[in-house]
Amino acid sequence: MLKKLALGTLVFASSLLASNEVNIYSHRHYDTDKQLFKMFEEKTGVKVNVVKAKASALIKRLESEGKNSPADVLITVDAGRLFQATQKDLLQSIDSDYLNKNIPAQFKDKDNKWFALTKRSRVAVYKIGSGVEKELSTYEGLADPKFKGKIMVRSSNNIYNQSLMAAMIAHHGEEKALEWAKGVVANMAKSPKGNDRYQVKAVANGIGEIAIANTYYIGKMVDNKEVAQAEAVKKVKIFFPKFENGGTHINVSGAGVTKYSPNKENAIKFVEFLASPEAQELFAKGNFEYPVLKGVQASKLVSSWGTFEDDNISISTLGENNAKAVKIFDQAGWR
Amino acid sequence: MKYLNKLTISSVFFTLLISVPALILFTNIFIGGENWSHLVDTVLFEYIFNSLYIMFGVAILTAVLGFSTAYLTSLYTFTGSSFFHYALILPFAIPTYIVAYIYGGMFDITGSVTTFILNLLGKDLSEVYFLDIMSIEGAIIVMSLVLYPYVYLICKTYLRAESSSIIDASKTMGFSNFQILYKVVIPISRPAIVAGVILAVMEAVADFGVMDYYGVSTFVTGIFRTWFGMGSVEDASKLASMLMLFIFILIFCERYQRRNKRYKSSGKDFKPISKQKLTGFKSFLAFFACFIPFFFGFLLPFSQMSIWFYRSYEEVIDEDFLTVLYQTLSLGVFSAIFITVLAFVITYNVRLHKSKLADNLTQISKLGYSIPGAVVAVGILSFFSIIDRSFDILLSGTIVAVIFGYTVRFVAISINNFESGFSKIPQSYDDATKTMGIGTFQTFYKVMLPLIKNSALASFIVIFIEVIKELPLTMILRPFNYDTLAVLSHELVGQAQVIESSVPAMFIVLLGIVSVLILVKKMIKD
Amino acid sequence: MIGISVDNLTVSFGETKILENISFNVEAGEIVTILGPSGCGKSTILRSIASLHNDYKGKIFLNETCLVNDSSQKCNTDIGYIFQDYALFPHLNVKENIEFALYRLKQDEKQRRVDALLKQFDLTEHRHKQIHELSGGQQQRVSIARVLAYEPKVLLLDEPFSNLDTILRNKTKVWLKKMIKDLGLSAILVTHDQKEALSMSDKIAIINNKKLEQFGTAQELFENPKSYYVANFLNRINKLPKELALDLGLSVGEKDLAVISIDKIIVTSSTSNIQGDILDISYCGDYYELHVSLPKYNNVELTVKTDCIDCLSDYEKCYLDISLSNIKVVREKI
Repeated sequence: MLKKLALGTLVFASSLLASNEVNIYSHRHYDTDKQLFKMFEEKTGVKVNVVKAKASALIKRLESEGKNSPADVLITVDAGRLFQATQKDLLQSIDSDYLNKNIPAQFKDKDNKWFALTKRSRVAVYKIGSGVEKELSTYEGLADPKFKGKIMVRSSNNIYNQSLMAAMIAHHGEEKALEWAKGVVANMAKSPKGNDRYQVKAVANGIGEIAIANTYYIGKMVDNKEVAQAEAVKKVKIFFPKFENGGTHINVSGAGVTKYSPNKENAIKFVEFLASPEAQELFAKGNFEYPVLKGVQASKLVSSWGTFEDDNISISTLGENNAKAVKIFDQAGWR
Repeated sequence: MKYLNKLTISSVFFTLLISVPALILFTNIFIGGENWSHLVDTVLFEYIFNSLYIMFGVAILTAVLGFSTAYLTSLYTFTGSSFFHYALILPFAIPTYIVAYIYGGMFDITGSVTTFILNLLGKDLSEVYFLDIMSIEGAIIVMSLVLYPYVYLICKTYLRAESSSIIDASKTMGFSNFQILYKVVIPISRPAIVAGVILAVMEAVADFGVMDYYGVSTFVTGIFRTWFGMGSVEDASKLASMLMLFIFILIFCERYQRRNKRYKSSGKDFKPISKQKLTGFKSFLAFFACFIPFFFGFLLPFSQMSIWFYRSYEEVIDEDFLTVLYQTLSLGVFSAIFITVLAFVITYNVRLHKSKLADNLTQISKLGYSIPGAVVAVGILSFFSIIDRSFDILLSGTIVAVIFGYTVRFVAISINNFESGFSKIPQSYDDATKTMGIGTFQTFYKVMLPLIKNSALASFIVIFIEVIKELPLTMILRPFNYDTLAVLSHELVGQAQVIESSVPAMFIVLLGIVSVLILVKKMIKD
Repeated sequence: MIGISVDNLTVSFGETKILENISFNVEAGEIVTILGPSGCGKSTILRSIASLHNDYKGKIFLNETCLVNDSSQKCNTDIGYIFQDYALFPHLNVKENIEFALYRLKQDEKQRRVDALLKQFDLTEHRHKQIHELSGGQQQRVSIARVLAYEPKVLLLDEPFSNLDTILRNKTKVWLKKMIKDLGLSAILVTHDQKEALSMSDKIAIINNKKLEQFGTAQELFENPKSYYVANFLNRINKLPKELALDLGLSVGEKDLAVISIDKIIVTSSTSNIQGDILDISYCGDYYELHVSLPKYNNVELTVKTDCIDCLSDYEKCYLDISLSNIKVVREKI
């Protein structure tokens, strides 16, 4: 019976090679992506097959599958995971003129193994009229006791927080990072639960005064079908904190071609497409992210939030410090 | 005389195959990863404490809800009792994580109910103390509301088989109904209550969806975090095996303290309990006691879900959605058939050849049920990667991996069904057919099949629902472009589209309701 | 003192009448057996007396004063009910079962009673055993001890011997009877076995087809059965054709039957008696059973019990001596 199975799967696998397809492992969970894939299919005639899961699960899967993996492209929502994938030798460097020319250096891997597609920032969201924005300045400052009972932030299980912590470690080392974490925990209005939008809703409704959230969620909450979200976002504003010795924390969503990609050409085309002006426009207008392609503007709404300076640490560091970040969260009691 | 034939070999092979992921995980108990001491220092005790808290909370709540309703509907008739007879099982049809999402959406800070109450009181959220549903207590309550049917069903079946003379005897000795309840009925029902509670607790402790959403740190969320966040599969596996150990100790303790006592009445002449009629205030109390779990466990969440469904179905149901629906149904049907047939082969083999080895292997293959879905997925990934490399093929990432995962997880249900069904068929049937010179296959076809088809049907239905509801394992192992209704609803919630998530959820629940009703009807007929 | 008085008991389940106008009394120290075919409602009578069943017409009194179905005053006459399956609590051991109803008593009084009962019923060494570890006979003793523990005045027994083998059955009957007399209990026994009824009871109530066909002492019922059913229930009888009775000088009314016990027909070789053709001879140990047909009376078939095979001249024919004094006239149907 095993033989039949093996045969069947071989046939299946080889059919993948023969046909015009590209297979994506993606952690991105936004509906704009569906539109993107359709656009690519229409433009190139290449069929897009997707598996969506948490990036870590996808990475484990790539590891297990080894050279028989049918995956062509890995897309993550966090720089840390891109870095992990590179460390585990799951991605290959590609030679694309388009990408080389158009993606700024700090937004791609030095060996061209991955490319950032969008930028997002993790910011402080506060209730209009509370006056707390006068006290806000740095990320480090969030640990100050003056904010006791005011901070709403999600669980440390989430990669966005882990990357923020990784940045904190990069700036100040593990000891100070632990102190900071403990300070934030002491300031939490509620123990961590829910997602970023939950934090914003809480603050808008009088629980806590400062929510930590990714910028694009604010955009998605505007005019949302869920009345609670739409109402909440009207009552808040964004503040861009900075690191004492750096800028505002940024993270990227990015893609790379897998090492054993069976459809390498299609894979490269696909990544190039994601960095094309049309795709970048969609990211910007459809998902409220900051595009990386020079010349593509952020949406009006996003621009209205204000400008900021990107933090100066390299994206790869966010991945390097991820495991340490989780440990520090554990020690600080930030669940 | 043991003779190896195809049946034996294939069933032994399958049993071993199914047991492998469980065994792989077990071996990790003794191997520590590099982060183990860190885990011990920081989070391990919190995981243990929270898991214990959840276990006790769910155990007590499900015992109370499940037993009280089983007691009332088995021993009395009152207003609505025949309705509740069936209706109390309905929470089974709704997956725990869906109820968690719905209650979250209703009772959290901007939930429909919270807003309604605040408007009623004319106050702002910060002025009012409210019970935060997204907490460990909230998780316990939500899970108990969905899981109490385990206790309810098992207790009902048990009470139905209990002879009425014990209750009559107590009455003639001058005891009131209430005294009979706590002096006789509860002690006698203890094995049923415990069996149901263990099933409920096992599900609660292995849950990921609810705990993750409500921000509760347990072994399972810890497993995900260690595995994904720290990248340490060894430590994650160790946590997983600790969790399994927990569960086995539980089961073992229960079996041990039960060893000497028989709870079944030994009388030969059996009269089922005749129901006493309740009137007036007592009838109202009984109605109320049954209405509460039904309302909070099914009616309320289902109503909210229906409202959300109505608001969003036009938008959500498109071609892609229908594909997902089709995929879910075919996966469910195929897996249910496959697992049922497999379990039948395994249990029939044990019956035919009465081999101790085969029997032990069968019991081991049941282990999968107590392992959380995500953990099974890890085991399978490791297992398949070894196979893939050795045979240079690709099994992981195909539907084979997913079905194998379901098999490891759910074959126990099917095996239990068949074991119980076979135990009702006296050995003398097999002997009789042997003396008549009828071969094994004929015996199977003409004698066993008609007798066992109830077990087969029950197994098919239960596994079908379980597969449709299953989330973490499917998420990790599924192939390209292959989403199920469960995965879709989880994703929609993840995108903060809780209202839209009601659309795939509704299909899951409707399928669940139909299956549950079919099952119950069959049970009542027996 | 009349321990139990059943007065015009009528029970219906829905539209169907199960029992109609059943009336009988049980004195203190008396054993009354309710006899009848399976499913005729015997247990329902017991259940009604024990207040386990409350939907009936008629009156049931205990100890002359206490009306069972009266909701205004609660009857505090204790009833002991022995169930057919003994209804022993499987989660308690022997001692715990016996003391189950004594929860209101002080510890030392409880202890005293239980120890006495354990001794009386030979259960002392078994007192810590679980119920399933006991034999049928031991279980029965426990069920009786449990009931006697609270010293009831009324004892109701539902087919108490059906789960015992013959030897045990006989032993039990003896001590049960003695105990009831010694304690002065009013006891009702329900069974479908007529031998048990005859040997144990002071009085027998025979229920058939919803009605009480006859109530009286065993002797009365045996020697003067009112109906065919009663006669046939307690004894093996033959229906005699009316012509035969007439020939012997007995005129039998339209609604009546002439019957005779099978051992009251005497087998002779004297040709002056009624001639019968022998259809079959069965050896039954200490007697023989003959199947005989009477050619003179339309070949009606009779069963004859005799211990004398030598009384037959041949194995084809025999001559039966039926004497008038042995014939009983009974109602065909009540």
